[in-house]
Amino acid sequence: MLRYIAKRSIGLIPVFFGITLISFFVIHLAPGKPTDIQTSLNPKVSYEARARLEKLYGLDKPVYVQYFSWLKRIVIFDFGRSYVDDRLVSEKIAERIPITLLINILSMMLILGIGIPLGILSAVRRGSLLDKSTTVLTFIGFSIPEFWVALLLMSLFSITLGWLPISGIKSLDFEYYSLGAKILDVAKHLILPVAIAAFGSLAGISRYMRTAMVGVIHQDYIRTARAKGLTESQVIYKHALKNAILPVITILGLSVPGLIGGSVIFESIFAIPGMGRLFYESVMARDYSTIMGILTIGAFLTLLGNLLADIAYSYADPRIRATEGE
Amino acid sequence: MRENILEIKNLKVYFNASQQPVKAVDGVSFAIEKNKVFGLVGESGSGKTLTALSILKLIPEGGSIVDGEILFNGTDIIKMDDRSLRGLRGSKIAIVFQDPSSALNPVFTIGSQIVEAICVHQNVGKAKAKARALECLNRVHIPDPQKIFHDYPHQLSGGTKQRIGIAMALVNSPELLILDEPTTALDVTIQAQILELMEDVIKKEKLSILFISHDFGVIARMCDEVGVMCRGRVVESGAKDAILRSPKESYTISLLESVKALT
Amino acid sequence: MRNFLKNKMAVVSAGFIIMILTFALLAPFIARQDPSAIDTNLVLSAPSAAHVFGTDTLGRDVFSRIVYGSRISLSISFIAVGISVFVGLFFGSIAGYYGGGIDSVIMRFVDIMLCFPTFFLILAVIAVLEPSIFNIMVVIGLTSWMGVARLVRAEILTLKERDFVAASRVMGASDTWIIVRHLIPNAIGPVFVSATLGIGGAILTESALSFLGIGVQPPTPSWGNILMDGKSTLGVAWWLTIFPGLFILFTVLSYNLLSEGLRDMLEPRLEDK
Repeated sequence: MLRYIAKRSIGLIPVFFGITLISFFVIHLAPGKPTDIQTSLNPKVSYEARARLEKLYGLDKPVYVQYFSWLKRIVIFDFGRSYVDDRLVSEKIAERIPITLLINILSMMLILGIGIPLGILSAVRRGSLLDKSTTVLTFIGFSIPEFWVALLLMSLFSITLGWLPISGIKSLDFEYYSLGAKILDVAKHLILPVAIAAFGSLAGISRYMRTAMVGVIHQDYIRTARAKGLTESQVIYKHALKNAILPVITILGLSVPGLIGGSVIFESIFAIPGMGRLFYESVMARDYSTIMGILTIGAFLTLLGNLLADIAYSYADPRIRATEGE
Repeated sequence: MRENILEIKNLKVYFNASQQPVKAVDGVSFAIEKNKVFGLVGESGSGKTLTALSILKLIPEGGSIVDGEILFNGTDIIKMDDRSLRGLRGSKIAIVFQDPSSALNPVFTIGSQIVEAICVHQNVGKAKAKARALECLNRVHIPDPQKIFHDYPHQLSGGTKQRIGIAMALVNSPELLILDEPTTALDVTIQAQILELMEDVIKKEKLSILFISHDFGVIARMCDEVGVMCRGRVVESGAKDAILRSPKESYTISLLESVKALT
Repeated sequence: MRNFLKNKMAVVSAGFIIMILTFALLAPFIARQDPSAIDTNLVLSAPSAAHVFGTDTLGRDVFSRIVYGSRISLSISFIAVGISVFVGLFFGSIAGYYGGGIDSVIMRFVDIMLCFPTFFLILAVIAVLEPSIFNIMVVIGLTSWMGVARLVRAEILTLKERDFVAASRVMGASDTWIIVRHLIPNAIGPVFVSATLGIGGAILTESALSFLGIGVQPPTPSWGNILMDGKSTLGVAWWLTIFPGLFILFTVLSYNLLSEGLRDMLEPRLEDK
């Protein structure tokens, strides 16, 4: 098992390089140099000052040298300094990542908690009202702009009904709350963002689960399970599910980039101080070093997510576990 | 006085009953005598597998029993409630399926699947269940049952898996064992081994058997009584020797002719 | 074709799409008002006879902006999907046809591209290159070809073993000829399904970008940037939020249902519905 993990991790190294290459390429698409913003906006900056800045950022060296020195810094998480406030990019990201991770993990739990049972029930009761309405909702879920749903929910719950706060992750007098009230406060602030974050993937997962279950239910070994005298729930939730869940694990891994990317939208709408919002702000301010840092980190998180999904899959499917472990 | 363990009377199983029904089983009747082997023979599509599946109400989606009685020791299975039916499945009536490669769940070990079959019906601890499982694996002449216990289906050969299927069916000492074309999906040499195993089981255990096959040769070897099925009906039935020597129906005759032509 | 017509949803979707296309093509005739006409007297007025969908923060007619916006949203998606199909066909057919090392390299490339949260990548590129309609089209196209590539590769892998390929080779056809004239036309079915889905996706991406202010820039109307107004007037001007959103929803939904209909037409599924 450990050998499998090691093997897969090593296989990811070329992907790691590829990610860095593409990130590097993206930043160098910019016409002019990244330092232009700082220098060209200020006519008083002399030619020497500009040359000094370029030297500082290594922009006077040939491209491939720049790439390797950038690469060397990345592996120790040195993404340079923000163009906006000169703070270390890694610091800025580090203080924002926890909240983004929290929301994404919560939404993942929601997706699994609702999507999987929904998919199973739709498969088991194919053609029923539940199945048909879930299919309709799924299609709508695929087609609806997430940010629009965010606006609608915000309008309904925050403005019209006033049940939930409009934005941020804590109320103004948060500091004065008791621990219990603090937790409740954060929870109230997180309900809408988590719901929106989960929304898009929910449709996909439940549909995928349904398809996988339908495929499994018709297998011979399910008939054998019934022939042994097992109850229908044992047949479905033990025998069928354990098989059907396998492709769903893969899909979960594949949906990680979508979740991370989607965080830009809901964090901006709900003013959540997370990594997605930082990315948006950096984009608006053309803070290239921060943009680069987050882009690379985002890709790595995806890589990590895929690796975890891979490991989970190989653990769950004995056909892989048995052959790889030997 | 003949005692029948199973009596099927006028069984009808239709598919797609609402629109244009496919009458897969259309009035099948026969009886299996206690502790005897009854063979159901017929070509593909004759409805023999479906008849067998109906006994435990394992009919595939889209089909339903529309008429008839299935009397097991006098009680009509068709009218049974779910709980009683589940009590029968895998304990008093057990079934071995045709394709061993797909009959076992790929993500569970052999051992856990057999133990599960035991624990559904018997209130025993894990150790006892494991012991019983190993005992049955030995019973079907599987070499090294301890190792097989922890193996997964994909690691084993077809012949071994079919033996496991038979072992799993025997764990709760069934009164009626249904064998649905148990050798059809296997290589010829393995077929012979499995049939030998079956003969051994029949000799040593006290049970009644419903043996389904399209191969008259196999039927002739294994069975005491025979029923010939064609297009959803039993066209002829009776003692094996009687059918083999003096078949009455034209279908039976042509079936026998084709076997003779091959041998 | 009959399969398609039997699917009621697909037919309704096709009808809706035709309607939207008409909006886009005949915009000046359908929208009687000038979408950029500012009327400070009528700022944020609710739907009325004169302005069916109300007016926005500058008094512009929302209905006209939505109609003209359809031009922008649709053209961006069509071209973006066109680009992604072209790039996908290119990489997918080469990988599938030549196999071996080329295949590995290309598929690695696909894996790498798939690691990037697409939205992040698009935002980053647009930040670097400045938002313009052209840039948006190209970036969306260049970040969504991976699925098509995989599809095409899979199809070609199965197709290239077939007899008609061997026959062509015997007749001396060049690789390019075989790929372009024989393999791709046969593999094109699933690509169509994917492309239709892609149009829906591209519309969603473009509107998200415009909503965030980094897509289509005002005053050019796009369904997304009208929603930007909707956000700032949330609770006050419901028409700025509801109408553009509904248009996006129904258009994307229609394309999604259309792609399902196409898929059914190509490979009728056994059961499932």
